[in-house]
Amino acid sequence: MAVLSEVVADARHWWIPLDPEVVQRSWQHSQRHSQPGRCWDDYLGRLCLVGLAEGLAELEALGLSKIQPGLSPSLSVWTAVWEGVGGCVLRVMPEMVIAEGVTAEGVTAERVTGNDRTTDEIRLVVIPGDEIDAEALVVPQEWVDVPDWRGHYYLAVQLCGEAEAAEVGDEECEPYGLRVWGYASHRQLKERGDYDPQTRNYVLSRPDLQEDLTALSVTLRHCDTQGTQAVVEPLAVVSAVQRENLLERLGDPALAFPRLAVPFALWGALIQDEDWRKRLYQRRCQGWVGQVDAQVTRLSQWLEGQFEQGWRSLTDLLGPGTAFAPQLRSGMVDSREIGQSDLTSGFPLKRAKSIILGGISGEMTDESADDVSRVILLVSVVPTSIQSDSVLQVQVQLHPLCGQQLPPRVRLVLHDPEQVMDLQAIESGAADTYLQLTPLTGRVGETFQVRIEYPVSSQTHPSQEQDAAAPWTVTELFRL
Amino acid sequence: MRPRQDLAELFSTFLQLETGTSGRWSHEPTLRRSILRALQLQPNQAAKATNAFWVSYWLEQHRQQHSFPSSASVSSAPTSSGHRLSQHHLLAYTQEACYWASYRFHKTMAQFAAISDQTLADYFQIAQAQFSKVLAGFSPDRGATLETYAELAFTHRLKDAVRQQKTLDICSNWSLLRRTSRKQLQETLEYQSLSPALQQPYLWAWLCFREGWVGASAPGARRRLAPATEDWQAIAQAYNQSKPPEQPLATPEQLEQRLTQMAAWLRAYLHPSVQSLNQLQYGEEGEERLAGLSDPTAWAQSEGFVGSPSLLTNLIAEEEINERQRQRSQLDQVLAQAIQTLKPEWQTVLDLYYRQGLIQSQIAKHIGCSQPSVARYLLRAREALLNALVTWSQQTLNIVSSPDRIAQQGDAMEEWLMGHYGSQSRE
Repeated sequence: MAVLSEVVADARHWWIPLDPEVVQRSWQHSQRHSQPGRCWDDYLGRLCLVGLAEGLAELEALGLSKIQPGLSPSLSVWTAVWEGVGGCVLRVMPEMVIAEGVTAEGVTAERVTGNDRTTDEIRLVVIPGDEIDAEALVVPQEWVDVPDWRGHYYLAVQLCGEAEAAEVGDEECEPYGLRVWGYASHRQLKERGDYDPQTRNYVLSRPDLQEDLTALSVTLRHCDTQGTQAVVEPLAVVSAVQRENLLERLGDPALAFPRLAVPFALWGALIQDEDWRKRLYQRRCQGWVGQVDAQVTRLSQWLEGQFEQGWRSLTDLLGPGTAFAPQLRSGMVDSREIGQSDLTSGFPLKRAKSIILGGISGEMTDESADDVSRVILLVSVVPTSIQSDSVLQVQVQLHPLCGQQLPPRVRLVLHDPEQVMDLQAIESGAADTYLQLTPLTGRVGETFQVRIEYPVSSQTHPSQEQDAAAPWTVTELFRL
Repeated sequence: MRPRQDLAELFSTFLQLETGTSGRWSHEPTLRRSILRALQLQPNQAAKATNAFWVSYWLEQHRQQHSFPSSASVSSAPTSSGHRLSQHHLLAYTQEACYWASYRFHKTMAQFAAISDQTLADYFQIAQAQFSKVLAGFSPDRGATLETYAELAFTHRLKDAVRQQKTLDICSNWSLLRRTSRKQLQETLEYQSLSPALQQPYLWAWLCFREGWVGASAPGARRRLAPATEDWQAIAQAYNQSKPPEQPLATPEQLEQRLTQMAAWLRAYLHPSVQSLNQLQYGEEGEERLAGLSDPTAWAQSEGFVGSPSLLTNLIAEEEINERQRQRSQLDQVLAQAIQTLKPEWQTVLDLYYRQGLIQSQIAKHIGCSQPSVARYLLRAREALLNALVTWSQQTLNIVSSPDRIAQQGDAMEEWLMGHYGSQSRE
């Protein structure tokens, strides 16, 4: 049976269906804010960054196969943005047509791609909402007047299906989807939009908006970005002392509208700085900081050659010619590795961290530790395809450092911090050479936790209340 | 439906739809007097004869007196009577466009009675009620006539209205408020004749409500239907902390009351009763107001517009009308040719979508492919056509493409597609 969204579809707009799993996941990740409204903006922002970017590529909406979230590829950076203001950025690198003609064979075109003299990266600021009336594009001032945040074009996006799903129940359910129903350039917003000083928004009413997104695709092919942006006022220069004061004042989570509480030039200067933005978030959302800002190992950054402290290559960690980890050296593990072993690509990328079971820190410097309790947590990462590095495959293994076997009763647990739930757990037996979690596949930005448990007490006090004693644990938080 | 013939009739009669598709034209005396008077006063005999001239004339009048550009909705904005007069002449003129948009929309919707089961007359009324918004989006420079443009714009408005209506029907007051734009709320408050100062406490209450209550729980889970006591306390705290200093403090109860009131006003505003739709026609009051104004010159002067119809004639030179006609035939040539160069399946999709008014899943079934493919074909076909148009204007007319220019060409193309396929679908 046809659904409403399809029956009233408009060929000028883009309709991007949303995968229910993306919706579910976006919701779960969006709840770490000081107020419901901030969580909501986070939710909408995530749906756009993930769903819209993918959907547009799928639809070949801009004639492009790759669209990237702006600012940073990592979704965690956005959490701090959305604590301040809703909206997000997609970056596209369009193919620019320099000569085109209609011939007998059809339309021919000569193109230049990317990085050429005329094409710049184009910033599309996405303004999501779920209003049932689409009479205006309402853009928070931050996206217009903060120089580094400005976009070339602004997309009006409407989330559909949300209310229907919640209020009607499953039978009559409209599918979740994003309807991109209009756009405007920065210049149009500045020149034709009404600035509302109370809410600090630029409001461009519908007749002043271009509703045919096809025109945007064609514009990106024919025009460079020159002239799409109007001049904006520089923001205030804010001294360190002033910033601390601002942080003090705006960091109060009971303050409902930090973005409206001080003059815009000050607020803009604070929020545009990633570091201060993060600090503001930390103050306003103290309860959540642990989860967001704990020492996170970012696996996608490994692919770019950036490794967190403690994670070392196997040769570096083991050193040449030592007797450590014989089976790791022998190559017997390699046959079970994820991905295609490809010498030229350097994948899978492996990094390892040494851990002392029951030790205070994970460092090997603790000389008193016996050899048995020294283990290696080995993580291998490989992109699932060469074209796209946004989906990664990860394998986690635990190896003994010195001997041939792991001590018995070591548990390796895979934990989902969002759902607060263990997904997988394996325990070493009497003669296990290593432990291995089922390989994981996930998208950049997703997180998972690996926990190692070891019943220390059972060794020191074998007779007493084995089961009641909490095991020693160490936790590693990873973000793809 | 009998086609209308003479000029006076075109600008002063409204279609009265009865059951089914039959209808009759009914005269609006005030409008008739106004157009006859204007015809008499118009010295330029040649221009007087064309519809295009009088459309331009009333558009110009409308533009001159347009004091509330985008927020003007038929029943709410305090517009001047002269403004209303010109708007109603244009509404009379676009009755056929409104009819055909409603007719086609009704034909499509009739297949999906579960979604919306309104009659043709209902749709006609809904579309007509949106006329001021339709008119606000019209730009004569794009090449399409008002008729073609209006038919397309009415269609878009009908789609919006049905989409809105569906949500409106299932939303609780609280989620309705959550999902209403500030702009629409302001219109609602204006409709209740609240001055900007009196609107303040409502708009701030709404802003705090929006930030403090989302109402959604995890996707798929049932929505919490109303804010709880602690939500109201948080909302009140936010309100008292951020409200403009001249506003008094408010308790959670007061805010709840204020928002409840707004929801009621909003529903009344979004669900215009039949009576308010009839305000389109002049009642006795309107007659009175217009009695002294039936001389366009006097009325134009009384509205602060200095000039007479003869001056206006110069503004809307005949050449301009001719120029527009020339543009139209060029557009026709370029696009008709470009369609021929499209892949056959793209051509089929365009035809099924624009002529037959099929929806994507029906098209998919028709040509035996997936629905996402249809979406892609339609998108690519429109993109190829617009691209051909832009390229042609660069090469032939030496026009440098700009985002604005391409956007205008996009609108012109959609209007052309509607005219091209649409005119063939009326039989």
